[in-house]
Amino acid sequence: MLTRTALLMCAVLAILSVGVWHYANTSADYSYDRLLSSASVSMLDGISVSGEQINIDLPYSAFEILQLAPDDKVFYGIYGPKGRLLSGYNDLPVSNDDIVSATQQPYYSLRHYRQQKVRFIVRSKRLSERSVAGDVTIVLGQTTQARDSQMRDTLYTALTTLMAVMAIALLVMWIAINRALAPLNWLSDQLQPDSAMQDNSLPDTRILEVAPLTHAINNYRHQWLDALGSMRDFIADASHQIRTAQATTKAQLEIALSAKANTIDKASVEAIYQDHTKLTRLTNQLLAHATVLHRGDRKAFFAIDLNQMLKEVITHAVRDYAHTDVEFEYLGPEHPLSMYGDEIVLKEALRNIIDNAVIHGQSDQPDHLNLIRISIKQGDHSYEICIEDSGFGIPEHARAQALERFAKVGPNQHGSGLGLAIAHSAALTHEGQLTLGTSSLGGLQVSLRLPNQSESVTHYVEQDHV
Amino acid sequence: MSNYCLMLLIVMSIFAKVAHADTLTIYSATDRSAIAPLLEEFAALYPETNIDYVEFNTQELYDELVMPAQPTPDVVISSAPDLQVKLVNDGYALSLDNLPDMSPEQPWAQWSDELFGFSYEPIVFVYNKQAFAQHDVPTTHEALAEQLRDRPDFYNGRIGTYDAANSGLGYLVATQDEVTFSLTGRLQESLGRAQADIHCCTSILLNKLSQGELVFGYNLLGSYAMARALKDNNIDVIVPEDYALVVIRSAFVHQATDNPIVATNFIRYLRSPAGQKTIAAHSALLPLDRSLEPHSDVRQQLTKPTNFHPIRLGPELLLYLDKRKREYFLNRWQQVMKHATP
Amino acid sequence: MRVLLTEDNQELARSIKHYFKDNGHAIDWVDSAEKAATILHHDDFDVLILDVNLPGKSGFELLSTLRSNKNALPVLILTARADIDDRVSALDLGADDYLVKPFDLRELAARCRALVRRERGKSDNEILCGNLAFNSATKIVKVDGEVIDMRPREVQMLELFITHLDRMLTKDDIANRLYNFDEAYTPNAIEQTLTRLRKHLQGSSVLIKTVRGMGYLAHVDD
Repeated sequence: MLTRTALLMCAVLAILSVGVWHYANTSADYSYDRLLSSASVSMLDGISVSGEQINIDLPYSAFEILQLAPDDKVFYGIYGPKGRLLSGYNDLPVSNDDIVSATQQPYYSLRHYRQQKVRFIVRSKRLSERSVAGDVTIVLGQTTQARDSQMRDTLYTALTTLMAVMAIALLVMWIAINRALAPLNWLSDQLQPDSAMQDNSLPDTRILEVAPLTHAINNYRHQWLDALGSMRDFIADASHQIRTAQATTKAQLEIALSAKANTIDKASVEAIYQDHTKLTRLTNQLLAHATVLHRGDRKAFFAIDLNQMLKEVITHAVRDYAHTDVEFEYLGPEHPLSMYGDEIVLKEALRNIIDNAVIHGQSDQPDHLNLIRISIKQGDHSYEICIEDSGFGIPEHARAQALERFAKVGPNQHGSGLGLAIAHSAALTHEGQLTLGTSSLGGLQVSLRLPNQSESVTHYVEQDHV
Repeated sequence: MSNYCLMLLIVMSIFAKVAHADTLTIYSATDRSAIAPLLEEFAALYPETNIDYVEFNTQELYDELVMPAQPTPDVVISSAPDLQVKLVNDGYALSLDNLPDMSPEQPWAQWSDELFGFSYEPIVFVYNKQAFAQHDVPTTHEALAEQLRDRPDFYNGRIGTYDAANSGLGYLVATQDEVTFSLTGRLQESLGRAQADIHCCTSILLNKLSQGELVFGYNLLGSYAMARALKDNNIDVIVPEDYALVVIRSAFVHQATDNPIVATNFIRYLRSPAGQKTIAAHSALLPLDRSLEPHSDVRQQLTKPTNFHPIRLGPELLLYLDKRKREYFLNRWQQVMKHATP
Repeated sequence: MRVLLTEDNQELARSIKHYFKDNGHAIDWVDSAEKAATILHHDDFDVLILDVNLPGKSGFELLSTLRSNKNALPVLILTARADIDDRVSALDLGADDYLVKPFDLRELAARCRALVRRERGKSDNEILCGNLAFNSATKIVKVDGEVIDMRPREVQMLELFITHLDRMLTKDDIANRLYNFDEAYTPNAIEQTLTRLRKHLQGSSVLIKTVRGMGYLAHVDD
């Protein structure tokens, strides 16, 4: 970074140098041209007409002015009307054109004369006496030693200043960069020896700017460890459940195989089939839960229409439970209900709650109406979806436990104990809530409250889920 | 290894060349006798060098360099700073950037790394001692002007000065007087009225002063006058107390020289403590180094806090060399001096 | 019903074959998409059961080739992937239905029948729904071979349900089909017609479920 800055500064320096060189040249030309100009004016003052003669009495002051460039040589020529040399050097490198062009205004030029660089001014004065009429022209030249040395002085001074400024800027930047990066170095020193799996926070820092960063790192690490922990719990739970179910099936199969009869009793196969069906459902739900958790971490949220989504879920449920006596009812508005969310996760959650309601809503009573009512209400900042059944419900003291994985509450033991856990996870993923209550239908009321995140998802805060 | 051999050969050949590059040609507008001690000492310091010293007067020297009839010299010395400046300005000099300035207080003693002064020669009054036995000798320009007015008979035809039209030094001093001193016009009118005797050369004026033909010499070159007064008891020298112009004798190395090293060495020697000491102690010249007391300045007039006015070596000296300016100046000068007897 | 099964798991394929044959369906089995494509080239089937995860070309690739060749053969996708996106993309690619492994063979057969029924309804006059047969030309309804005598409105309603099996129909949907603009009807009239229709259908495989707040859904339970 510093190298790139240095290179950039060198480039800037190069560009500025050209500018400074130009400035030095112009200012040197400007000051020494003024000497030439005033000396030439002064010399022209010494030219007068008396009678029919042009009198030339060059003033001493003209040379005193030129003496301000003490080491420079001086050449001059004075030409009368018609270009006749009146006095001075007769071999000056000045053409008639130069003299003509000087009649309007002084004319400056840089020429080589006697193996030296010489700056010339050509200046004219109109004589309008009766006897002598025409232009008197003075050509005055001076070598450029003082001019060049002033130009060099200006150039070197400016360049030195420039370079000093640049060097100081670089130094300041170097110090600033080092200072700015110091906290990061400290941080990487702190992180280096730690294993990512270790559950220890970074020490508090007194560097104010770094505190939010260490905080964020600690936070991130804890979330990560939490996710890892819940994954570990999940795997342990899942293996326990699946293996138990598998053990049951296997044992039943062995008994069936070891029976002495040659034909297998259909009743025992039926039992095995039932157990296997439960195993299947367990596996499906475990995978569904894993999906919900995983997608919850990803938070791939899009705009969805809750009304439409609920109708789809209910239609599928009606179709799948058409052969049973379960009746469905939907209390929802006619218009779309939009929110940001993960449609797949929400569908999975709702389907699980409905499945749960179907299983637990059954009753032994012969004239029992097996109704599942699904309703949605729109609050100020949230939607509340309720799924009610007419079964036995869950006693109040057991409700909190019912949301945990593999919890089985109540008399019916057909469930896997995962349905409500999946719904719970889905609710947390959406920063919502899953609450259990008593339905007016007599059974369980599951309320899924979802905040109406109709804004973008960027302001979402990472949130723990289990 | 072979590189070293080659280097050695080159160095040896340079020495050989120096050893055999024997002749240093000096064209000079300075009396040989006045400068002889310097030439001798230089010859002693550089025994392998032969010095070919050719004497000119200042104008001849200028003409010879501009239109050469003889071989090109290595070093050019002249007491006419204006002509020297003109030669340098026109590119006859070699730039010697390794030669330091004499001292920061004497920036006027060299010009542009090319022209180097080495003597400090005031313009002085000279008088016949016997003629002024009963009178006060004027020690300032104003006092002289007063005496010329008050005692016309005493001075009439008996005051001498340079002929500005024929003497380069006379012209220079007359013009510089005009630049420096506001009363010059009045003084010159007085000189004209007193029918001043004008001559081309210092020696003629000194002779006439010594013999009593002239009683007062105005604006004479101090170095020669002091040297003469040292031997000649009839005359004495006054360095004017109000102001004294100082002519710087200067030297440059000709740009076409064959021996730039030896020529440079010679000029460095002229300005070196040794050279300056020799000027002060043995020559008829006066040293640029003001801390030395020249043997010819018996009354230590040069070390007094007089208002010395050195004529700067610089381009402003070109002014009075301008053809038209010269004509214009000499016209006026001759108008004023028309009663003078050349 | 003639079925082509594309499944690389031998045991599962054998069981499916066995089950379908037992139920009186003709079923052919191949274990790769390439072979399925070859067979489909010169043979006609009523339905294709297609596994997604196949060695070589995947089920999806075969499906999209079929659809881009304008082949309208009903396709039922079998998938074992947990990611539910699979189902979505299967339907997008032109599958008619999907089932997630593990599934009940009974369910698979029922879904196949439903697909075939839907496809036949477009061309044949005779639509079979389990033990109920409906002739769309003569408007004659039979349950277990016995003609059921119904009023024209009831027949119209039955036809509407049979052509929209497993889909939710609102009361408005039904009214728009059963009555012209100028015919006045009361919501009760539909309910009454439905009640009578349900009575006629008792003992048949066709069930009509009422979902309060949404509408009605017919399902063949066979």
